[in-house]
Order: sequence, then C-alpha cells, then structure tokens
Amino acid sequence: MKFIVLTRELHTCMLSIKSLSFEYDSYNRFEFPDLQVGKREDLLVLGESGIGKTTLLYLIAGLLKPKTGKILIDDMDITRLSGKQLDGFRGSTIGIVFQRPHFIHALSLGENLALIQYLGKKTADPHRIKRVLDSLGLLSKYHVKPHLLSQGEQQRVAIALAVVNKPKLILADEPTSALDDKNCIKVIELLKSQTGGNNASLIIITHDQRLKSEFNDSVSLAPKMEMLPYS
Amino acid sequence: MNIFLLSLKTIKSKPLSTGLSLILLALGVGLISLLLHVDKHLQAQMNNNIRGIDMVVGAKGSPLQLILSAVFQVDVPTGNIKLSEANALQKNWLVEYGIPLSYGDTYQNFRIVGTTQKYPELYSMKLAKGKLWSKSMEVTIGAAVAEKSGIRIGDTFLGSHGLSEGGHVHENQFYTVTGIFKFSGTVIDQLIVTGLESVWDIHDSHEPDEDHKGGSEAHDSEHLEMVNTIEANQKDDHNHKEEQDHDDQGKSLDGRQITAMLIKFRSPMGMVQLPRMVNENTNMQAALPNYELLKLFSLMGIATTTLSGVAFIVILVSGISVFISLYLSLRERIYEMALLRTYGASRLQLLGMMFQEGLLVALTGFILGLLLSRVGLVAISVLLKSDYHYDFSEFILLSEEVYLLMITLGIGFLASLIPAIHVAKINLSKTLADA
Repeated sequence: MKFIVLTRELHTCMLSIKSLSFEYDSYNRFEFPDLQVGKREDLLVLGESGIGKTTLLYLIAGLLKPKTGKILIDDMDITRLSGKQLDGFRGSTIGIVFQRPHFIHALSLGENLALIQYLGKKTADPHRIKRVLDSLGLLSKYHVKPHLLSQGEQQRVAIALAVVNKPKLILADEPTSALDDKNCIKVIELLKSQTGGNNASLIIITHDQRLKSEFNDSVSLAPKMEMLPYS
Repeated sequence: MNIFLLSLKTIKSKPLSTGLSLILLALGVGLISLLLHVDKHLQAQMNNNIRGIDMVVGAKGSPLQLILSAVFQVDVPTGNIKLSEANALQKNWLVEYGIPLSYGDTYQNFRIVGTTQKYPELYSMKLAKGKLWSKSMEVTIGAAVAEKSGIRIGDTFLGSHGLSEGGHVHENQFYTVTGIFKFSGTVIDQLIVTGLESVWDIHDSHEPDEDHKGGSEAHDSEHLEMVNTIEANQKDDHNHKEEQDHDDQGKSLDGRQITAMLIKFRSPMGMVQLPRMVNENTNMQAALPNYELLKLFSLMGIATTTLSGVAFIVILVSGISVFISLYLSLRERIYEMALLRTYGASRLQLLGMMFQEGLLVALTGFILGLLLSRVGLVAISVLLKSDYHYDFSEFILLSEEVYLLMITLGIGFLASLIPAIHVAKINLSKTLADA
C-alpha cells in the first residue's frame, strides 16, 4: 500500500515526518505521507479502519520503530533514541489519549496522576493535578478509583492523564468513537482547551467524520489510488 | 507516588490472594523459627547442665530416666542406692569426684535436693544473698525458686514427700533458708539445695527404720564384693589406704541411702572401664549423660526434621501462591504495564515493580512468621514454666533465622521471576492495540 503525500508548509515545527514507512511483515507494509505540525497547532488525521492510523500514532509516540524515515518532535529525531531515552522522552514530551481509557486499578484518580508525574520525571505537584481535574470537572473524584467512574467521566480522565505533565505534543487515538454527538463535541472542546492552555500541539487520529468541522487542518490517509481531497 | 508505593498499593488492592500468601508464609516461617528456638534452647540448656558430669550412677532402671531425674530433675528417680556403695565407687582412681544426690521431696513443686557443697560448685553457682547451708535443715535456694515462691532468707517451710503436689507433708521438720543463688541458667535455678543430712534426718524420723536395716543387710555381701572388685582394679597403695578409710566411714553410715551420684572421670579410661564395671558387678546402674542425650536428640531430631520439612513445604506452597497471584493478575495488568511504559516508565522500573511485589510479600510474611514464633515461644514458656521449670526468655534473632530470611526472599524472588520476564518482553504496540 502506498499513501498519497500531503504536506503543509509551516513556519515552526512541533512534529515533522519525512518518508516514513513501517512493516509488520511483507504483506502489511505502510508508507506514510510527510507531515508537519507547527507549535500550538492542531491536526486531524482522518482515515478508514485498517489504513494504519493507529500505527502512525504509535510511530509518532515512539511505541513502534519505523522501517525507514525520520520523525522529528521538537527538533529531536526520536528514531535515533535508545529504548530507555525514548521512554523518558515520551514520558516528558508526549501525552496520549487512548481509544478506550485505561488506568492503574490499584490507584485512585489522584494517585494515577501523581504516578504519571513521577514517571514523566516531573516534580510532584498536587496543585497541578487539582487544577487539571478541576478544569475537567473531576475534582470531586480525586480519591475515587477511575474504573468506578462513568464512561463519560472516564473519557475525561483519559484526557487528564494525557495533559497532566504539560506535554508539548498530545496524541489522541479515536477519542470520540464511542461517544454520542453531544459528548463528542464536549470532549473535543476539552481536548482543545487543555492543549491550548498548555501551549501544546494536538494530533487527533480518527475515522470520525463529525470532527472534520471542528478543525482547520486535517489530512486524510488513503490508499494511493484513491485520491481524497483535504479541506 | 513512586514505583515502591505503586507496588505496595497493588499488593493491598488484592487482599485475598495477598492474605493467603502471607498466612502460608507466616505459618511456615513461624513453625521453623519456633523449632529452631526450642531446639537451640533445649540443647544449650542440656549441655549446660551436663557439663562436668561424665557418668551418673543410680538404681537400676531406665538409663534415660536416671539422667533426666538426676541431672535435669525432670523425671522421677529410678530408686535408691546405698551411699556406702556409691562412696566405694568414688574412691576408684579413675574417678575425679562424685557428687551424691538425694531427692524425692518437694516444696511448692520445687524439688529439694540433698547433696554436698560440691554440687553448686559444679555449676559455678554464685550466691545472690546469704550463705550456703552449713548444717542439717538449712537450705540454699535457686533464683527461680526465690522469684516464684517468694520465700526469702530466714523463712522456714515444710517439705512434702513425693515429687507431685499433695504428698505427705513432713510435719515439724522445718527447713530454714540461709541463702539464695544468682540466676545461672542451670538446673539449680529451679532447686532447693540442702545437705544430705537434712534428707536423712527427715526420713529417719519419719520412716520406720526396720525396712532400711533389713534391706541394707541383704546388700552387705554384695557391697563387700563390689569393694573387692574396685580394689582389684587399683594398683596404687595410697588409694588402697583411702579405700580402707572409706570402709570405716561406710560402716558408720551403714544403711544411709542416696538417689544418685554424679561422677566426673579423671581420664577417658573411666569411660571405658567404669560403666561396665558398675553395671556388671554392682547393684547400681551407670548411665552416660552424653550418650543418653545423643539418643534423645536423635529421637527428637526425627520429629524436628519432619516438622521442618512440613514447614518448608508450606513456605514453598506460599511461594507458589505468590507466583500464581502475580501471574494471574498479570493478564489484566499487562495493559497497565504497557500504559506505564507510554507514560515514561522504563523496562527496569517495571521489572523492579514485579520483584518488589514478590519480595514485599515474602518479607512481610517472614516478619509475621517471626512474630508468630515469638508468640509461640511465650506460650511454650508459660506452659512449661509450671511443668518443667525451664525459661524460654531469649527472643534474639538466631543466625539460622537469617538464613531463613534469605530462603524466604529467594522464594519471593523466584515467584516474581516468570511474571517479570513476561513484563520485560512486553510488546507495547500489540498490547495497547489488543486491549
């Protein structure tokens, strides 16, 4: 499979991808378009299931090693980092909102966030945790175990986990696919306000066409033969 | 929040499986530690008490019973022997010294032992207060006797016949306390020690003399025979002369009886010759405390080894329980682990977390086990104080317990090894995608 190349010229780059490819095996080979996302800019990556969206997200997050190409995050080529350096870089620079929220079951919401601060090598900052929870309307759930919360609350917790370390780049994998229209807009608003508040860049990867209207910039991943317009 | 706290919280979040592992570990460790303490204490106590005693001579019967009654004062005596016979043996050139013991009376369950002043000397007893007995009906009491019965110097009391409570009380025969020994960790702590004469005086006035006389006459010929045997063994003229002296003394004390005599050999030759000589040629029996105790320990050893084996199996099972608990929860936690990695945790941190969980459970179980064993020791101590008069008061950590700690931690480590390997091999993207 080959992907059409879509580029946008931007002045200052938070994320820059060049001639990136990845293969699980010889039948599952992906080539990704070159991308650039500026500082404090948002990008929506649209694509159908099975087209390699999540793979792209994992590559950007450093969870997978690409076969070829470069991934520059804040001018740092993460493909050159060793495993341990990558863990550290990811913890301090990237926040990920997963499709389905998951937490450490043994810990309360506040403790989950404190653990993420610790793993991201940030100094323990209970005020920051409380501020994040407050802005997401979760302050009253500080001592509650996250898996006991409602689904809507859990989705907001997932955002809290991603932003608590003030990462420069926030990646969201299908954050709205399980939500109805009303909650969908709400979550996107929250994501945008959280990233904006932290001067971070947001990349959302989704097949959810509802989000298109919410973003200025979007790219579509598609097989090479099918040309898809981008707005 | 850090990895250690996370391990702690994770353990606490599954109280049932953690509880099971802890109970098993504590039981195993507690049992082994208890065995170690009891074994060590008994051996130390026994070795302390047989020091300076190579052979015990008493009436015929069970040799172990003779040792237990004469040396440790825990069993009933096998019977009486004639003082003259015992004294004759004492004059053998292979005997360095012999200490006559006469017992059978008690006061408040504490045994009254008639002996010579060589007896407290044997255990290097020191006086805490007062002085040793000097005449009939004067006693010096052990530290534990003084503490538990509350009798003090100058107090008088009546002894009762027999080794259990409710025996006949020797009326009008008051003992007077002249001294109290310092605590020594030997059998004397539990004894009321007096001169041989006291015991004789009480029983002379109390028991009809005819029985003694009749008995002693019947033994007279045997007695002479034995003296001859002993003399035959002696080539030294000086000793021979002493033997004559003793004979005179023996006649004046004719009919006097003692319960047993503790004997120390002058040379290892005594070990070869004397026991056989006594057992074959006299009406007495000779028992070797070292030999009898070795037999006793080897018997006890079977029980101890079996119990230790069972306890080790319990510890092993608890290790398996820790392993199963870690391994089963791993399936649901593998996503958590992947999540932690995405938040910046390194492989090493996750490995540390798995090992911490195994080792924390092991360590907690070990500490609980030690507490359990100490509670057991207190229980035994309370139980035995009224029965065997032995104090279990040492709560120190034994060197064997340090090994036990290492074994326990080793099992905790092994239990977390396989789950840790799984965590190390975690495939981040696949795990996250599968969830």
